[in-house]
Amino acid sequence: MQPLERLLVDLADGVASMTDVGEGHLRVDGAELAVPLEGRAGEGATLLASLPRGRMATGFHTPHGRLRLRLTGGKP
Amino acid sequence: MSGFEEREFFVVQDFVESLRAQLDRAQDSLAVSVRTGRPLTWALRDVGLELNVFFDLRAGKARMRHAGPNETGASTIKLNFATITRPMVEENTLDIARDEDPRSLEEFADSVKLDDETRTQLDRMGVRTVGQLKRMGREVPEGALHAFTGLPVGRLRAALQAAARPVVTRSDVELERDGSPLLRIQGANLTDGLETDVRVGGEPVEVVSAEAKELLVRPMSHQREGRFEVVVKGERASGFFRMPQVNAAPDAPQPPAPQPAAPQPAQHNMPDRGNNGAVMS
Repeated sequence: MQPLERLLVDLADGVASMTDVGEGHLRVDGAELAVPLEGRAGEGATLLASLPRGRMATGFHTPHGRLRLRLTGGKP
Repeated sequence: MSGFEEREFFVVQDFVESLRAQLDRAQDSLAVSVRTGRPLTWALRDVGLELNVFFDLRAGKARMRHAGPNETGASTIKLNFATITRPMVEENTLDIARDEDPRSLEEFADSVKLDDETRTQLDRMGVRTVGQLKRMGREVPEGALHAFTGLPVGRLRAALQAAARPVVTRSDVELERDGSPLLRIQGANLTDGLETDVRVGGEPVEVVSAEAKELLVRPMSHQREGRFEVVVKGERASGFFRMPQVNAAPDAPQPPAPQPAAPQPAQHNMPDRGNNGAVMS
């Protein structure tokens, strides 16, 4: 598990790598992700989070929450 | 507590505050990519979280913990965070600088021994500064306040009376261009708008300007240091001051800047190094 902010940045990087396709007539200027989420409390009431770590649910895994993320893109 | 340790619980307010800080950090990290030469940059527009948690109420504070493996019956909390602009932040938050009395209610409640229950009730009503408490006391009739919130009228009245007493939190000596000193006194309730009586060593001194949060007074030439007193409606607050050294060598180190004193009710002492040698323009 990692702090939520690192997961968000990783996901945003994932989106960026999909959309960094060079110059063209069309470009992606927004993306929306909805992913299942494992979360637990970290130091100082922070949220540690990760995507579920396997396809098989086991009795050792915490119930999944959900993360919805909307990103907006633009030219720097 | 069904076998779960106390440390697994956290206050909801702390959690939301931590999430906000985490999202800010994520936004900052994404902003760095602007400088890496990518053709497109990305920013968070909004984030929605849905978490399985168990709630608990302790001492009037909502707490929660994440659901563990195999636990059924968890509640679902859905949180949505949206990016907002600076004007929206300013529009929706208290401007401390414009608060007539920005002393925190927490510190004030300690000094007037306001009980925890009353303090919690005021906090729930969004009363977090003494200025907000005063405004509520002015704008809401006592009876209505009691009927709608259950706040005990006697305790509230005592708190409002205490909130109206003058308090000195800081004093500085400043020099005018001609070298004559002015004493700047900061605090709360330092004038009632009609008459402000300031005495240094028992002698009345000229009040150059008077506002509830700040007084500017001109000590007499023989008054180099000592105790000053502010009297408003018969209530007193006091502090100490000391003039800067005259004829000090140019390279002589300046006295350290004064430290703000903790807000206290009337009749408290101020640090005796209340001088930063600043020149008034």
